[in-house]
Amino acid sequence: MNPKRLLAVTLGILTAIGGFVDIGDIVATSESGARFGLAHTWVLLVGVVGICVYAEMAGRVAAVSTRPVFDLVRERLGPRVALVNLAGSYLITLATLAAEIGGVALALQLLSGTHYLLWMPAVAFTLWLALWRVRFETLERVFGLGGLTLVVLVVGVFWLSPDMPALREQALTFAPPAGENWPTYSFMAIALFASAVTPYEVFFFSSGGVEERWTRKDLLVARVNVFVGFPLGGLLAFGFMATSAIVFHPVDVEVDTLGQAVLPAGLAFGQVGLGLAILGVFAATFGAAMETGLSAGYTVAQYFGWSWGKYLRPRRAARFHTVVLVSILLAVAALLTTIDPVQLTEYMLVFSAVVLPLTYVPILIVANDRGYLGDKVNGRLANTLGVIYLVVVVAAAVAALPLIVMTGMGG
Amino acid sequence: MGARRWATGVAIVLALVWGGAGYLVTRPTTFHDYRVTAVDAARSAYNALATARIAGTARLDRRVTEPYLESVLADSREALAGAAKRFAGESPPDARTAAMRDELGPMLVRASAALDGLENAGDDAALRAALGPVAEAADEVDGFLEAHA
Repeated sequence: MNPKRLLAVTLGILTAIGGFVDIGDIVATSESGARFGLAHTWVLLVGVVGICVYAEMAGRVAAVSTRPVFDLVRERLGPRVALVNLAGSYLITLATLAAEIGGVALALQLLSGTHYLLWMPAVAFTLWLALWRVRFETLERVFGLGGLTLVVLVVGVFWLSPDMPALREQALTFAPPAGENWPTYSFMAIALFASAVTPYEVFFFSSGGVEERWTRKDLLVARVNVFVGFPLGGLLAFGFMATSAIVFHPVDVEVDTLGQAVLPAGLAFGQVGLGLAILGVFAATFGAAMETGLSAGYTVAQYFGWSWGKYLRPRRAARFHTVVLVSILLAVAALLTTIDPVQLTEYMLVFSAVVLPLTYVPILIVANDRGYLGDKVNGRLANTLGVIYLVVVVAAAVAALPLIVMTGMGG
Repeated sequence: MGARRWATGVAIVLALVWGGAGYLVTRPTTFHDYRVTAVDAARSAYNALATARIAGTARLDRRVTEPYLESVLADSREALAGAAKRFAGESPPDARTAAMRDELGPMLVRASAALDGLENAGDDAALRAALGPVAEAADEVDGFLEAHA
């Protein structure tokens, strides 16, 4: 296959890696594996299908209308509804950005032994510089492909000589194991599902399609991005869940730090494996920081109708770049309060479940609008799956807050 | 009139929330509250010790790097210190919980000393020697969890 065509899927890979293996997801999936074994595997599968359904719609909207989803949401549903959407998704994106910057710094701490707070200013500056100066395609290729080194954990599943029948039984059990309860199991399921369908993923993906100047001719590229990238992201997340299920679940150890999450790679492959896993975490969290930083700029600029995007020179999209810079500064300010980045993003996962309908209802509406998509509106399958997932998303949103209270954030 | 009713309604809700929060913060600790705090602290301590033990053993086998081990031990130390602080912040309301305090308190102190030993181990022999007390402390806390969780 032509290498150029192969590289054309890096947008989907980067988006999916940001969605499935950012700092919060890494720790949440590892924690799930440690506490529940593989009993949440079905949630990952449901999440992968869900994000594929909606990312395909978002990619199609971007390719056919050559405009990003958020732009159309504002135009189609009016500024008031879009403002609610903007407020919800921007706040979650900003908090996630803070967590990702912290995640990059934590990965550097694991490599160097130097405390993550000391790395943070350098990480934030490098992130801003990359978003300001480096081409979009270069960023997505470097960090999208860099994140793929996390495949070491997927391979590690077989290297750690697990009890396969026991793992299979865990994966086919749709209930909490002994010693755990239903509310905690459900809380974790919602957190994992929300992490798979985080709002910024679809906004970033559709804006990225516009950055890459997708047109109707690129519908196939958009679909390949979705159907290769997102399942790959899900597979990497499964690597964290499964290796934690193998290493930590049998000895009843809970996982709540990045260091614990990558330890199975070291146990399987030694220092090389550990190094690859940390490199993958660095690339994935830096990629997610880029995604969230750009998404913050995209949503605000698209709402107000400003020029936006990395395909424009910074001088021509000054307000967009200012929003990105201010968002990074706000994120760093939040981290300098010494809030734990992992905890921050775990909170965000669950709160993002509450605002998911604000993102997905408008996308479904726009994807059915012939004024924008002509003959490329949703077919019966896309609408059926879209509505089914909308019900799931609303159910998750309704259940999230009571479960937060009942379980004390999954404790 | 509508605005006044709204204002009254909001004021009542705020007063109820405020009062409820005040009650929750100031209500006396019960046996159940204390047991939950103690079990949470023990679980955090067990997680910290067991992780330190796995990572330390992996370091002996050269499967992880020195900076990595330092980071993991720093996380374990932080988790253990947080658990000990939360546990110390709760007063036992009765004789049964006082016995629980007398049982877990010294365990947390021994756990902290065991982690100190691991953090200060300068070479492989010292690391190997330090893993013993960490394993003992982990087993001890695990026993507490089995009895009280």
